[in-house]
Amino acid sequence: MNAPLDTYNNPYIPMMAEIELVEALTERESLFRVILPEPLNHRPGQFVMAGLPGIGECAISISSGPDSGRILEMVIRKAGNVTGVLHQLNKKDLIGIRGPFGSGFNLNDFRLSTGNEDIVIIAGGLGLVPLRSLIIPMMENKSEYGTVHLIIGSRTPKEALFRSQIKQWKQLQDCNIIELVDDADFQEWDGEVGLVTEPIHRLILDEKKTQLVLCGPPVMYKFVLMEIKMNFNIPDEQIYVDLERRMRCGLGKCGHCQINHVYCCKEGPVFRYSQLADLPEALT
Amino acid sequence: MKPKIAFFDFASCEGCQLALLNCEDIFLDLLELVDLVEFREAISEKSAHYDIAFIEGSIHREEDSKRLVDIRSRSQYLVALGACACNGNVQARSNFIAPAENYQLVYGEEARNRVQIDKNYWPLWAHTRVRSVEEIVKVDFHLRGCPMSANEFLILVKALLSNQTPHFPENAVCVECKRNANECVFDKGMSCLGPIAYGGCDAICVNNGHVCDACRGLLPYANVDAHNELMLSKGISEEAIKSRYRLFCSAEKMSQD
Amino acid sequence: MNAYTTQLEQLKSWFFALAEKQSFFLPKKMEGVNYRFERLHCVNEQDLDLLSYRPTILPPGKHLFPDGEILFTYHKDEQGHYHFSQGSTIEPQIIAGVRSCDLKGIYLMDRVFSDGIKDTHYLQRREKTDIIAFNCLTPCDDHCFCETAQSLDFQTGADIFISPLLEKDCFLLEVQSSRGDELIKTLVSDKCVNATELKQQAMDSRPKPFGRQFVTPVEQLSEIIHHEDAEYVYQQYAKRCFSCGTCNLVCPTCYCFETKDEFELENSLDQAKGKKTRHWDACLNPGFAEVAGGHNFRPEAAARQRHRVRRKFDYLPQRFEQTFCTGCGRCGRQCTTGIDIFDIVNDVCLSVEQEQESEQ
Repeated sequence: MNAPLDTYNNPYIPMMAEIELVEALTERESLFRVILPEPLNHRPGQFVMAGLPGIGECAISISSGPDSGRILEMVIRKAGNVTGVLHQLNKKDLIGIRGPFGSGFNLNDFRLSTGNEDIVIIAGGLGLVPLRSLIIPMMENKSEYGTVHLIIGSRTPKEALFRSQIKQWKQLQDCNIIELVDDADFQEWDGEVGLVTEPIHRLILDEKKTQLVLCGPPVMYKFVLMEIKMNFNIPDEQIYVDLERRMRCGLGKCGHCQINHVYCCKEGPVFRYSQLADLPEALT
Repeated sequence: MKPKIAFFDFASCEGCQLALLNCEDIFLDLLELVDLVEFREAISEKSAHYDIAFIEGSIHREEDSKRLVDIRSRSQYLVALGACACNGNVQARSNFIAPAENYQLVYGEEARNRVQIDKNYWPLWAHTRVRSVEEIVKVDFHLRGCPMSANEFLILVKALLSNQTPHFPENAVCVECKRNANECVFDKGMSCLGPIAYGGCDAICVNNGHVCDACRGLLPYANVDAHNELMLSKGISEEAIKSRYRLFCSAEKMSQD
Repeated sequence: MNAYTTQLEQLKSWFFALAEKQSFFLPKKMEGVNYRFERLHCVNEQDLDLLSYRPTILPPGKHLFPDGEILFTYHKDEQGHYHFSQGSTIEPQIIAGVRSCDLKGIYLMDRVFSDGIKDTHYLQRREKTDIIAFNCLTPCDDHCFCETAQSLDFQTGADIFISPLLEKDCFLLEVQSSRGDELIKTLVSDKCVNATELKQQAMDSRPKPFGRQFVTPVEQLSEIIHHEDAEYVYQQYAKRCFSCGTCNLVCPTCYCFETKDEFELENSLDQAKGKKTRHWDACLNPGFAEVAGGHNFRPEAAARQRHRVRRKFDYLPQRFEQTFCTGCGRCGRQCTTGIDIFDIVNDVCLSVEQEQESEQ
C-alpha cells in the first residue's frame, strides 16, 4: 500500500547531464554544453530548468538548435544564487536538467513553403540566447527560408555574444545582420553604435509576408514594438515576443510565472503579439 | 584552509550566541568545517581576516562604532546577528528620551547630578543615539529576531560556505502562522504586530500562545497606517500602540519621527 | 447509490471506530472562536459539532497538499552518481466533516493537479484519502456566500455525503463510491428508501437567500472581472492591505507554491545528500513575481489584489470552466483588516453599473 511512486513519473526529479564544455563568453555569461542521457527533442524557444540537487534550479533558455540530439547548449548569466553555483561547475561535472518546457516556436511558421518572405529577429542582450535556437535551424537550412534580418544589440562590445558564429552567418545568402552596441566604450567594435530601435526603419520588408521575433530585457519591448508599428504594417499574429518570468516548477502549477491567465512556463515564454492584447501584464 | 568565522559582541545580552550554543548538534557539525575565532562565549583568540563576521548587539559609543568599522574592513561578509544588531532592540527606546533624563530614570537624581558635574563620567552617558549595525557599516546579511533563529543561522552558514547567496523571504509573520494553522491572535481577543513584522521565526511566539511584538523588525513594505487603524479599532490607545511599535523597532527609520 | 439513516450517537461511535484504524481528521474547536482539522484520537475527545462549526482556519484540502512536502530526496554515491527517491511515504487518511464549499475546493484541486503534466504527489495523496462530507442547512456565519458562489449543494468527490434531517439528531448518509460502501460497513444504520424526499424536506428548511449574495449572477462575473479595469476599486482595498498573504494561504483553491532545495551538512559541504521540498506561497506577498536580478512584475498591492480576484473569477475559470471561489468566506473572515473578496467583487460590479449609468 505504501509502495513508493514510480520516480519516473515524478516531474520534479531532474535528469543528470554531464558537462562537456564551459566557455566564458563575457564577464557574467558562460556557455554550457552538456550531454544528456536522452535527447531533449525540443522546439526553438523552449527552456529547461537547470540546477543542482540540494542547491536549487532556475529557468534557462535552450540555445542549441532543435536537431542537436543529446547535446544541449545553454548560456547562463551569473545573476542569483543558483546561477552563481552553476558558474563554479567544470567539465565532467553533472548538472540537473528538467524539460523541455514551454511553447516555443514552430519552424513551419517561418518557412518559404508557408508563404513567408522576410524574417526579422531582434535580440537585445541575453535575448540572443533563446533566439539562437531559432536562428541556427534557419541558417543550417537557409534555402528553406527567405531573407533573415538579424538586429542584435548589446550594451558594450565586451558583452556581445556569439560574434564568431554571427560572422559565419553573415556569409550566407539573403542574410542581413546588423550588430549594435549602446556604447562602444572605447573598445574595438566593427558594428554600429546605437539602440536596437534605430535600424528598424531601414529594413525593407514584404510586410504581409514577414515574421518578426523579439527578445530582450523587459524595458526593450515597448520601444521596439512602437518603432515597428510606426514603420511597418505587420499583422500582430506574425510578431512574436519571448518573455522572461520567474519560472519555478515548469509545469504550469506553482503560479510564479503567471501573466494574467497564462502560465509563462506552459503557454509561453513565446507569445504572438496578437495574444498580448489579452495579457496586459505581459509587457510591464 | 578552513574559512574563519568570528563573533563580536556590542551592547546585547549575548543571548543569540547562547541560542546557537544551545543547538549543540548543528554547532559541533559546523566546528568541523570552520575555524572559530573571537567567540567570547566559547574561546578567545585573535585573527586578522574573517570570512564571516557576526556582529551581535547595538552600537552606542563612538569607540564601538570605530571598532565596528575596523571589523568591517577585515571581513568578507558581515552579518548582523539578532535584533540588537539589526534594529536596536529594546535598548534603543532610550533614543526617545534625553540622555540626562534617561540616566536619572535608571540611577536616580543624585547620580545624574553627579555625572553631569564630573567630567570623568561624561563619556559613559553622553551617547545620543543607539544605532543598528547597518547605520554604521554595510551589512551583507541580517539574522533577525530576539534571539536569532538557529535554523536561519544554519541556512546562512551553509549557503556562504558552499559559495551560495542565502536568501530570506521578506514575508510577514502571518505567512508562518497560516502554515502552522495558528488561530489568529486578533481572534483570541489580543493584538499582534505579525501583519507588519518580518517573519522567518516560524511564528514561534504565536505557536506558543503569545503575540508577535515584531522583534525581527518591520517589513520594508509594512502598511503601518492600516495596522495603526486596526489596533485603534480594537480599542487600544494611541500611546499604547506607539509604545508597542517602539518595543523592538526603535532604531528603525519609521518610528524615529 | 445506497442511502442510510442513523442517529447522532451511532454516527459518533462510527467515527471513533474508523479513527482507531487509521488517520481520521475532524474539525476541532480551538482556544478562541476557530476550528482546525485535527486527528481524532480517543472517544469523547471532542464534541462533534459538525452542524455549526465555523469553517476551519485552513481548508481540509491542505491535507492533500501539505506545506513542506518532500518532492524528492537524493544522495550521491562514491562515483558521484545521483540517486533519487520519492521521499515521503503517503499514508491513507479519512477527512470527515468536509463542507460542500471545501468539497468543491478539493474537486477543483483535483482538476488542477491532473491537468497537463500530472502532479504525482498530490494525486497519490488524493488517491489514499477518503472524504466524508457534510451538508449545510444554515449559513455557517456572516462571511459565508457559498450559495451565490454555487457550491452550496456540491457533492462530487465525497465517498459519503451526510445530510442532517429535520428530525433531531437524525442523519442521512449517501454512499457515493465503492470506498464509501467499505467505510459504512461498520456503521449501525437503517437502509433508507425515501432518501430524496427526506433530504429535500431538510433542504427546504434552509433560509432564503442562503448567506450573502453577489449583486451580479456568478455566470456574468467572469466577463465583468475580465474586462473591467476597476483600478480604483482595487486601489481602495490595497490601501489597507498588509500584503501578508493570509487570504491566499487560507483559500481552498490557492495552490501556488515555492520550492526549496537543501543539503545535509554532515561534516561536509559536498551536498552528498539532500531534498527538495515545496511550501505554500502567496501571490499577495510582494516578492512573489520577482525574478533573479530584482525586477518585480507585480510590485503594487493593488495589482496583486486584482491578480487574486482574477485568478478566482477569470483566469482559472477560463481554463477549467468553474468559478474558483467556493464562497467559504475564509479570506474575508481571516483578513485582519477585513478585506473580503465578496466585497471586492461586488464593488467591481457596482462600479461597472455606475459607469454604464453615467454613460446613458
